Order: sequence, then C-alpha cells, then structure tokens
Amino acid sequence: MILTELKKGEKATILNLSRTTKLVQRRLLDLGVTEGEEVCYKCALPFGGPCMLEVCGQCIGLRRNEAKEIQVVRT
Amino acid sequence: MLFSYIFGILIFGYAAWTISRFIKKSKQGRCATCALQKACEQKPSTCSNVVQIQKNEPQLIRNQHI
Amino acid sequence: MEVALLGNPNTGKTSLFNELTGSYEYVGNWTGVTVDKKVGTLKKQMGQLIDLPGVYALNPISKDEGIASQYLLENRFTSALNIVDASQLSRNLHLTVQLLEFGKPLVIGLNMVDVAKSRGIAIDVNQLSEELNVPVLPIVARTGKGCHDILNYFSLKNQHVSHFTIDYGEKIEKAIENISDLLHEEQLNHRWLALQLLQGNRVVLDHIKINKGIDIERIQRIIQELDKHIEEVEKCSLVRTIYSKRKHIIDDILSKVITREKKSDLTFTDSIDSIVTNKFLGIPIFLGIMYFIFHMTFNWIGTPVSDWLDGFFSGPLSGWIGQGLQVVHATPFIRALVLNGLVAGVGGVIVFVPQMIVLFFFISLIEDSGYMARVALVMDRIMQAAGLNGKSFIPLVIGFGCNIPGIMAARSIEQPKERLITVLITPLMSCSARLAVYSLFAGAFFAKYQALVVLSLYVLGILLALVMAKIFSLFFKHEHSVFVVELPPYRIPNAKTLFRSTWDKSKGFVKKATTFILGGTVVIWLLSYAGPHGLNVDIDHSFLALVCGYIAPLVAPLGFGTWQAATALVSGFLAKEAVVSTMSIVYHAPHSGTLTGVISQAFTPLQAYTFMVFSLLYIPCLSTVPAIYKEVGTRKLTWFTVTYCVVLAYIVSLVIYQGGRLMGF
Ligand SMILES: Nc1nc2c(ncn2[C@@H]2O[C@H](COP(=O)(O)OP(=O)(O)OP(=O)(O)O)[C@@H](O)[C@H]2O)c(=O)[nH]1
Ligand SMILES: [Mg+2]
Repeated sequence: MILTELKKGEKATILNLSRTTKLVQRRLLDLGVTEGEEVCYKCALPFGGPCMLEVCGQCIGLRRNEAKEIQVVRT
Repeated sequence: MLFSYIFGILIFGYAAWTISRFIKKSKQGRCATCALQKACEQKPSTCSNVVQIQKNEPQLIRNQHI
Repeated sequence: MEVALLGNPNTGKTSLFNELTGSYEYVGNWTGVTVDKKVGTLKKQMGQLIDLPGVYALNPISKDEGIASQYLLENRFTSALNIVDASQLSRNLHLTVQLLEFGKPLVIGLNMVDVAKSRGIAIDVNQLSEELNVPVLPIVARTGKGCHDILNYFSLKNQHVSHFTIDYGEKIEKAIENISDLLHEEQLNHRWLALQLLQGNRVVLDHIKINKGIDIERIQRIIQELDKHIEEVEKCSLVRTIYSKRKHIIDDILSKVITREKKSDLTFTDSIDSIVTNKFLGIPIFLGIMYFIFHMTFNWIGTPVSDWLDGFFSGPLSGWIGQGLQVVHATPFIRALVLNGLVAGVGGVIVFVPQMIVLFFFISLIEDSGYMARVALVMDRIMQAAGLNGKSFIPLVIGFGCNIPGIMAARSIEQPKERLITVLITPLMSCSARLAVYSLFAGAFFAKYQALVVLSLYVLGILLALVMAKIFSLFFKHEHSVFVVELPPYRIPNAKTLFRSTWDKSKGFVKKATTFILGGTVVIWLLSYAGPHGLNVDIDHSFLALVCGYIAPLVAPLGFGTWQAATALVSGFLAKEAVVSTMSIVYHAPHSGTLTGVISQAFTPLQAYTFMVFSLLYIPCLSTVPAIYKEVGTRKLTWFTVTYCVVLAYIVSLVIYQGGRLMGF
C-alpha cells in the first residue's frame, strides 16, 4: 500500500522510496528516512496540501504527491 | 556667533560622514555581509563559487543516482 | 587558532557561538537560520570561531549548505567543533563520521542533553568518546552549561587528531585506493576526497578540477564502473550503499552508548500541532496571530506610548532645545536646522520606536518557538499554486523584519528556480521601516482600525508577491518542485534570546535613525531652507519644491501629486523611514501642532491608503539592492527587480485610487 492510504495516527514500515523525486530522496536520506524505518502518518492539509509524518523521532512535512510515491506496509 | 559656526560645521560634518559611510557600506555588494571579508578579497572565488554551484545544481541532481 | 562550528541544522551551533564569543547572532528554532559564515573572537582571545550554516551531509543541496562545504575545502582552520544533537544522535552521527574522515582535529559538542534527558535518552559520554576515538563534551548551549569546558579544551595546545575509519567493503575500498592514487597533488585528506567523490559531491569535484594535474576523467570512470557494479550486486545505488555501511556502524555504536527509557515528551508538540496545522484552522490561525500582533503593536501598547513620545518631542523637548539655543545666541539658521530639521525629522522617526519594540518582540517570539516551520507547512499548498513551495514563505516572514535577511534566507531553498523567484518577490514584503509610514498614516486617518488597515497592507504585499511569483515562474523552464521540511519540536522561547533579539533589532532601528537618516534629514532640510532667491525662503519656493515639483505630476494620477509627497517618495529610496522624516520636515510649520494633524489636512483617507500601498511596493531600499544583486548574481536581474516593483506599485496604486474614487470614497 502507499503512505497516504494510512489513517491518521497509523504506523507503517517504509518499503520503497525510489519512486520519489531525486531531490526529495536525498533530503529524506539526510533526515535518516530510509527503507525499513517506521513511519507514523500524522495528518494532511486540505486541497492536496502537504502531510505531516513522524519518522526517526522527528516530525517532517512532505508534499502529498511525493508521499503518494512511498510504499509502506502496516505494522 | 562662534558657537553657531562650530555647531553648524559639526552637524553638517556628521551628516556628510554618515551619508558617505552608508553609501560605501551599501555599495560593497557582493561581500558586504560576508564576514570573512579578508579571505574574500584575497580569493574572489570564495564568494562567487557559490553562485556557480547553484547554476550547475539542477544538472547535478538529475545525473546522480541515489 | 581558527575553530569551525559544524553540525546538522538547528542543533544549537549559533547558540553556542553566541555563548563562546559573547556576540549576538541570529538564533531561531527552524532549519536554515544561519545562511552565511560568521566570524567571532573566542573569549580570552584564544582565536577565532567560525559559525557556519547547518548541513546534514557534506554533499550540499541548497546554497547555504554549499557555503559550509566550501568553507571546509578552502579554509585552513585549526580544528573543527562538531555540534551534535543528543536527542537525534543517529542522524547527527552521519555528519560526524564524514568529519572524522576529513582528518582534521575534531571535538564533539554533545548539545541538547537536556532535551535528550526529558525524552528518556541516557547517553554514556565516555563510551561514545571511546567508540569514535574523539573527545566528547556534553553541553546545553542555550543555558551555557558546559560551554566553559569547551573553552578550556581549546586552551590546551595539543589537539587530538582522531583516526577513525570505516571499512566500506572490498570493492569500494579498492576504488578509494585507486582514486586516492590519482589525487597525489591534493593537500586535503585523500581518502575523504575519494569518498566524497564516490558520493557525488559536486563541490569537491569542482574543487579538484582547479588542480590541473589531476586526471578527472579517470576518476569519473572509476566511479562509474563502481556504481554499475554495486548496482548489479547490491541492487542499490553506490550512495545508498555507503550510507548503509555508515548507518550500520553508527547503529552498532549507539547500541552500546544509549539506554532508552520508554518516555516521550513529543505530546506537548503534538497537541499544539493538532491545532496550528489543523485542516481548516491553519491559515486563519496564522492571520489571527498576525492580527493580534498588530493589535498589540498599534492599539494596545505601541501607539499610546509613541503618541506620548510624539507629544514630548514636539512640546517640551522642542521648547527646551529652543530655550537652550537662545541662551547661547544661536543664529536663526542654526535654530531652524535643529528645530525644523533634526528634531522634526529624526524625532519623527524615533517616536515609532515603541511600535518597533513590540513588533520585534513578537517576531522573535515566533522565530524562537518553532512555529516558523509550521507556517511553511500550512502555506505550502498556496505557495505551490504560485509556483513555489512552503519553505519560500519563511524568507517572506523574515522579510517583515527587514528585507535583507529575508532575501538571504532564501538560500535554504533547495530548488534553484524557486530560490531565485523567492529572492525576486521578497522586496514586496512590508519591512519594519515601512511600518513607520503606516504608523503615521494609519494613526492620522484610521485611528480605530489601525491594526486592520496595517494587516491589509501586509496581506496585500503577500498576495501580490504570490501573483508575481506565478507570473515569473511562467518564464522559467518547468522544474519539479520539492518540499521537505523538518518540523522541530516546540521550545518555550528563551527569555535571554528574546530580550537580546528584540534589543538588537530595536537598537538597529535607533542607530539607523541617528546616523544615516539624520544625515539625509540635514540634506533635505537644507534643500527646503534654500532656494534660488537665497536662504530662508518660503518652503514652496525652495529648491526641494522646485525639483520635486517636476516629479509630482507623475504620481498625480495616484492621488498625491504634491511636491511634498514626491519628495518623501524620492528620499524613501534611501531608506523607507526617510519617507516619514522627510514628511516631518516638509509639512513642518511653526505652531501647526503635530505632524499627524497636518497630514490629516493634506490627504484624504483614500489618498492616504493609496500612499501607504505605494510606499509598501514602490522600490526596494538602497541597502536591499546590493543584497539582491548578491543573491541573483546578475546586474540585469537586479535592475529587473527594481523596475518591476516600481511598475507594480504604480499599477496597483492607480487601480486602488481610481477604483476608490469611482466607488465614491
Ligand atoms: N532545549 C535546548 N534548546 C537549545 C539548546 N541549544 C539550542 N537550543 C535551541 O535550539 C534552537 C536552534 O538553535 P540555533 O543556535 O539557531 O541552531 P543552529 O544550529 O545555529 O541552526 P542553523 O543556523 O539553522 O543551522 C533555538 O531555538 C535554541 O534556543 C539546548 O542545549 N537545549
Ligand atoms: Mg545557526
């Protein structure tokens, strides 16, 4: 499944990040977000706005269309 | 009278000084805010290089495998 | 001795810098506060400390990160001080590993131990030091705890060069060796250079390209071969393979060093976030906060105090100075210069200090709390529609204080196109100098609704900036827009930081008023005092009136075609406060009461509002122009920015004035 299909507050493990934009991939890697990390989908802003995630003990904001490219599996 | 002359010169002198200093400061442009001014003077590339990287950047990101 | 501060963004480097050098640099709770290198002198005159922008890795994406990497390559510093966020150890150590590989003396400042403790993370400092083979000093940069140990450490002469190597596996090690052999003429650590090249570090590549003796093509061939091989064997790119190797080692070290109690203090941050980033409330809350700030600034605290100050300046103070001048038998010329020039002009600006203090206090509060990154998140959708991303909103908010740091803050935006557009639109933000103009006019015409009128100007500035951004982005090649932002935990703003920051900014305002605004005031006054027929002419026949009388018809369609308004606008190019000081002079008539009174005779409310809009937009001030040049890099674009502001201001003001007239205002 993909990240944005998770419900608010649900947790999942990242399976695949490689379909996101290169630049985003690099930033996510900088923040320690890689395959195998646990992610919590916290909320999304309206009209296709960005979403908020909690990964590796920190909160990050990410565009929804990028988040849609991230594959996860529920834990 | 003497007081007026001295006072007038003081005020106009101060005014001229502040304006010239302001213009000089504003004009410094490229490295005005860069605190390592000396290093920049010796090596102009230090500051301008950053702009160059910026130009190459989109390319760099596209080419790179992650 | 030169010590470089390096570390991840928002880990407290600048806080420590301020603590160790006794200076005051910009501190804020979001990533990308420092975007330039800053030099300070260590206490006890031990040497220099260099504060650098925060970096996640040494391979830069944004321009501010580029500055830090470049510094590493080109400056021969004695020792590096790596600030590590104790509550985010595993991410921070990736940078530490790269700095260790760099091979210069290194010491780790383990910051935010208080935060780590409250999250139930206990760190064995000695063990960490042993594992990494480098000194580790725990500190709390915000309160200054442990900072003394750092000074003591640097006063010792023999500094520790660590030997820390990671085995990256046979193939990669072989490539490192091959590349190192080709780098024999380089002075920097060969292994480090090779590793950075393998990670695709462009700054490093550019750096070694300068050295003609190095066979770049061969190096690139080695990298490509390795890349292909790794891709086949590991099913994963070279960059990622190196990353995982490091991660493996780091995780291994951390398992020995960290003991975790199950405890989390993120709930506080969570509960605030559930309100401020709420689906529907996000943007209204931002506007509400802005409105509240203006209400405090104008209706509750700032204006009452500043009215009192105004009364004092134009009443008792002028009286005392007048009497004093009489006692020393000053000539009428000097009397006029001091009373009608200096006191009216400079005093006219100084009276707005109370408003500035209140505004600066609230801006500092927002900066230090952690709300800034949330604003970026909330605004992202709107910014996306304008062809930008949420991070571009941070420079705009900083621009409310002063446009110059706002323009520089754009460096932390990853995408070059979005960065450039952000620089181009930041001059439309209403800086604090323009607030003096609003204070004057809003106080005179819209006394009850001051906060609302001022808010409307700020919002107008933002809206026009977004429209312009959209238009500009049509002229660029389409690039994929990106938005990733770190949302740091909220922190209760530090009283010391708040005070210093407010004090510093207010001091700057007063300093500007008493130096360069004063100089300009003297010139303007002289031009208003002298005319073709000698000195002490009627002000309507002065040089100023004659010259600016030619400009006045140009702005007549906007409703303020008087030479007085034209003069104010011309001098406003030097600094926006000069609009106010000039008006004080040109409208100053003996016994006419306060400036507010005179102005309310000279303008209608509609003209006043149009004048405020025009002052908001019409031109970036003289100091901002070089800052724009520095960021955009070409003269053409700089001129373009100045011109489009003027044209935009004219069109918008025309529409407002003529539209308002049609509607019967
Ligand atoms: N609780 C706590 N907060 C700290 C500590 N050190 C710094 N801070 C806070 O962390 C935030 C970031 O501090 P800065 O000094 O601006 O961080 P920086 O590393 O210079 O950030 P960039 O310039 O963006 O790279 C501020 O809000 C500080 O008040 C600390 O030891 N404990
Ligand atoms: Mg900083």
